[in-house]
Amino acid sequence: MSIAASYFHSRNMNRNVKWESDNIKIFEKTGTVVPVNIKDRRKDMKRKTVVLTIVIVLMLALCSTGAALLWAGSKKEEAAPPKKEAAVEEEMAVEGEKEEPSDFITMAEIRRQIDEANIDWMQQKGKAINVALQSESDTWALEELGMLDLFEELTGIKLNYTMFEEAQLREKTTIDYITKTGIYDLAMSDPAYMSSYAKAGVVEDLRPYLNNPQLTDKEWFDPDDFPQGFKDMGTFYGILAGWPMHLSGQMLYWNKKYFEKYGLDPERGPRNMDELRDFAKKCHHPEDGVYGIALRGLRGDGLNVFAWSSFMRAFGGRWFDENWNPQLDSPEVIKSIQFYSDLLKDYGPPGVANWEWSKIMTAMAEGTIVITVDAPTFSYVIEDPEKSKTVGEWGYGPNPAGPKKQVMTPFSWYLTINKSSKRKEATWLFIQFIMSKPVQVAIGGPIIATGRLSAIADPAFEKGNPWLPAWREAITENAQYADALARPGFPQWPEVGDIMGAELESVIAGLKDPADAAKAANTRIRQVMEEAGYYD
Amino acid sequence: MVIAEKNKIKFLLPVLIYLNLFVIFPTIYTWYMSLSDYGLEGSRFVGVLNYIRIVKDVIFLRSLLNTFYLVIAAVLIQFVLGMLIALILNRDFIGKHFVYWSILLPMIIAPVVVGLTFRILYDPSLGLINYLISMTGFKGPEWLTTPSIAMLSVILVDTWQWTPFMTLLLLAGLQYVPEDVHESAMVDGASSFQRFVFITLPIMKNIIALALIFRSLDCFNKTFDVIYMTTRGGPGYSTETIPTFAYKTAFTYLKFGKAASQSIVLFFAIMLFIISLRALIKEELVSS
Amino acid sequence: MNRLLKKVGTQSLLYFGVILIILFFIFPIYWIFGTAFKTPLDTFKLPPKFIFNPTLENFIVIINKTQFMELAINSIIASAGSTFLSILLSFPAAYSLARFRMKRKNDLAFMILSLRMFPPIAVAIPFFIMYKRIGLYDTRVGLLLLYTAFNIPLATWLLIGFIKEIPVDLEEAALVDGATHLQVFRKIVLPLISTGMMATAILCFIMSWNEFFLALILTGRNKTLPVFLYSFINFREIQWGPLMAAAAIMSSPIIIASIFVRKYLIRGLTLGAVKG
Repeated sequence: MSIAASYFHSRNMNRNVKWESDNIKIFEKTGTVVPVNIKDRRKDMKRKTVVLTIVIVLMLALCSTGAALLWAGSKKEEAAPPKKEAAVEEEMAVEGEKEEPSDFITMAEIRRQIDEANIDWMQQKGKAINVALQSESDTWALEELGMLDLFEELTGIKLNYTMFEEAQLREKTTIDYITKTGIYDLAMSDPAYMSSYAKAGVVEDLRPYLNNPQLTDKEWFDPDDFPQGFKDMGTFYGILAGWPMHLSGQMLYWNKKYFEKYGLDPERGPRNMDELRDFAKKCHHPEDGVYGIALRGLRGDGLNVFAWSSFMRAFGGRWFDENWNPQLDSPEVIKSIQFYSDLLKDYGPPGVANWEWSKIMTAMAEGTIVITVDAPTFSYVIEDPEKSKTVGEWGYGPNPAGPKKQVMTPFSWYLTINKSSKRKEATWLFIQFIMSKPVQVAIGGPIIATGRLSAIADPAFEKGNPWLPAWREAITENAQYADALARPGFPQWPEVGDIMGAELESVIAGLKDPADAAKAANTRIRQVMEEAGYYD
Repeated sequence: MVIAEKNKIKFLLPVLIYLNLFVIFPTIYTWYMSLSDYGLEGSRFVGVLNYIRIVKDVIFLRSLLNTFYLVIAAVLIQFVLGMLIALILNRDFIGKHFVYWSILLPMIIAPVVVGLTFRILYDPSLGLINYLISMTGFKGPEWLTTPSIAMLSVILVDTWQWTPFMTLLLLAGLQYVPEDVHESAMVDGASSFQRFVFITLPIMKNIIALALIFRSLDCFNKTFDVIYMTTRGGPGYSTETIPTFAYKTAFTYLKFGKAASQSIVLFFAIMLFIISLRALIKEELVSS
Repeated sequence: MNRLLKKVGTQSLLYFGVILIILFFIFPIYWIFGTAFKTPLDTFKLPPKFIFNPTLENFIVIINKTQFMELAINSIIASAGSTFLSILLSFPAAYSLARFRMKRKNDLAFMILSLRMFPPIAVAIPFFIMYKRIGLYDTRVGLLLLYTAFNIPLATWLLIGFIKEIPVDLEEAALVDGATHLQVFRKIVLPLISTGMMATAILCFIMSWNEFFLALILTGRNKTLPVFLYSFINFREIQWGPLMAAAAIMSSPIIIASIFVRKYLIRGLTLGAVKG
């Protein structure tokens, strides 16, 4: 008999037991298997069940108290919007009707202005619309300031909104469009994809709604308050596929404190590419943990390609010629790739080939980079004392000019109506409401970059934001350099942009040299266009 | 067998019915998608055009290679590491339960958080890993942007997160290895290494096969989150795997038919892989 | 003397290995949990502050001001429910495949396995269409049923493995002595595979708990926690604090549950005697 078995055997008084363990006994003669110590086991089982029940009850209790707390009154939010400090924030109410929603306009004033509109807001009463929004400051502001609730109250339309992260938003809406199920009546869209949507006919043309006097008070809504360029960016195949939500794109940032430290004029940012390189060089001190410049390196049509596209155009390059032949192997484009990647390789932080906008913004807030050309919305975080160590140190300016021109890549999110929606008029009322003057002024405080020119220009926003005038000046000047061809809108753009992004990233990472990368991108892009039937 | 044979079908029926309900429609539909030009504008039957296109695509072939490289390397490393840890946990020592929980934790954290965390940790300027390395005087590599290292970084993240899976299974398997067999071998003069290789491993063969099979399956299909969060398939295409590539083809390029065909190719590749794996280990879980 | 040295040697090697392992696995966890307690300014500080003023703000925000607790219910229902259901369905199937003689048993088992070989991207649209037609879109039950379908292959195969570890003779002996099949299950098979069963349950639960892609596609308002986590990544910034806090809270149920079933997971010497 084995050692272990004999150990158990000797332990057992009853000679008839052949083998015994925690659970069972096997009798010698018959080999019968019998459970051991039934009474103890039952007690043990009972104890275990009690414990398990307690755990389950505890978890359920936790969940229900959480749910109860939510019912008790605090506003529901998908993700906590970041807190901004200073007087501006404290005066913005989250609950209660008594306090004003915004520092810049009172609720009464909002209602008064809404009433001025010569339409019946209640005409779609009783309907319910599903709205897919991207989770970002515009939409948080709308929620936080009670604008969405106001909409429901005003129009009698039930609003079901969900906030998504960018990629998830696209995934959900893509499947919605493909299967034509019409789950979301309204979705926020990236113009890069809108051309595909327009071509496939899955989004509504907004112009009939805009021009319908029953639905829209055109004079009050003032569509000309939105820059034509941005409306054009939302127009594809002859239809106005979406309404621009805000004026964004690019802007030049530089850290005035470091400029001064390294012998540069803190009030003067680099005006052209040579100065950009020169200033970055002077501010590049890795031994102090300070890097001259950071630009988007991570591949993606909305990532490194977005940032680089303005450089490409500034050097005189273009994506396609009149017959849709890709022009990426032209000397101007190659030169821009060379400039962009050299700038990053020589004066950028290590690993910048993996950086997208959030890392750049973090580095700015940490004070490890000095110059960048990126989205104007960064100021929201880098000037927030709760999130940034470099508050008040930033200078703002327009994109630096290239050898051929001065270019800014514009960008905005667009509100689109799903063609499979059964409540299009109600959805349009929603668009008209949140893009209206009073609401845009109200949310102008927290987000600054609204869609309306008049709202941006309002001096009331300067309260609590000392950096605002410089920022506003920069963005206004920069707007005139907006180049719609920097990021052309045609259905194959996402794939084309992605291919270019991968090649660009390899150059920044030191894998390829610019000419090879450009040629590789050009060949592959040409193949994509060919498969899509552009050369037939 | 002793137990009445008539029951054997009865036992299997619930599972078979349940699975078939879920499997039939998606399988047929995916085949259909792969044979059409399926996008926003509807679908149009094109036969094997998608397959021809992807087979000629260098990037697709590269992704396929990367996928296998990732899976084979990751699973091998995780097996060795997981086995070592399981052996250690099989003994008794102070603080054993604490070690057990700390090993289990990585598997429990949501993949998106793991991906984001490692993305920051790996960053040469913002992250802790290179910072700690620099304290010893060496300069840490650029984990995510050096092509040769990028895939290894991804494998490292996967190992960190999923070695516990191996450990959990292998430890459960170790419980079934009888002590007395070891003891008689010890009496016969075998060293612990010999005992391990010639006794423990063969006894655990089935559990090992299980662990390897399921870890490989997950590694093929579920590493999307990690790669997407850390490198997006870069630098260049060095960490592009079929799942990430298919995702891009579907949701960025809006070519769902092509994505379906890529997935089907991967599916067959996985099937071949699993069959070979089972044959290699001579696993006999369900041999008649 | 030599033997003592050898013992000390192996013991210290053992402990050294243990420490290395713990460091390797704990380090990122420390970062995650640490960030959950830090203010945004402290998060990326280098040199990192190992001793800092912890703040509970992130946790408070998650619990009070977001939908976290509500959505946790969805996750629990989907994960716990699918784990339970899949083990319930798989156990008989596993027993059948492990014990009985059958033609084409291998093919059958392989077919069950092949469900897990499917890349999720491919099945996203078909499942979406299917669910929308049946009316299971955006329901907790829908997710529960789906996760069960994906857990069944795992549960079945794992249980087959563990059942095979038990020698048939034990069951045969009991049957000869007049036990019914049910008694055989309850008194012999179940106790002996409890280790394996628990491991299987934990794995199925974790897989379902963290599953993201199909949950995103097939839910709207009734989403699960992994989908919710993504809302902390957005156009302006990534909210590290709340995100890590949410992740920390998300991992707690599994840890707590594991502690309670630990007796089943690590058994002592006794089981080994079965094969003697």
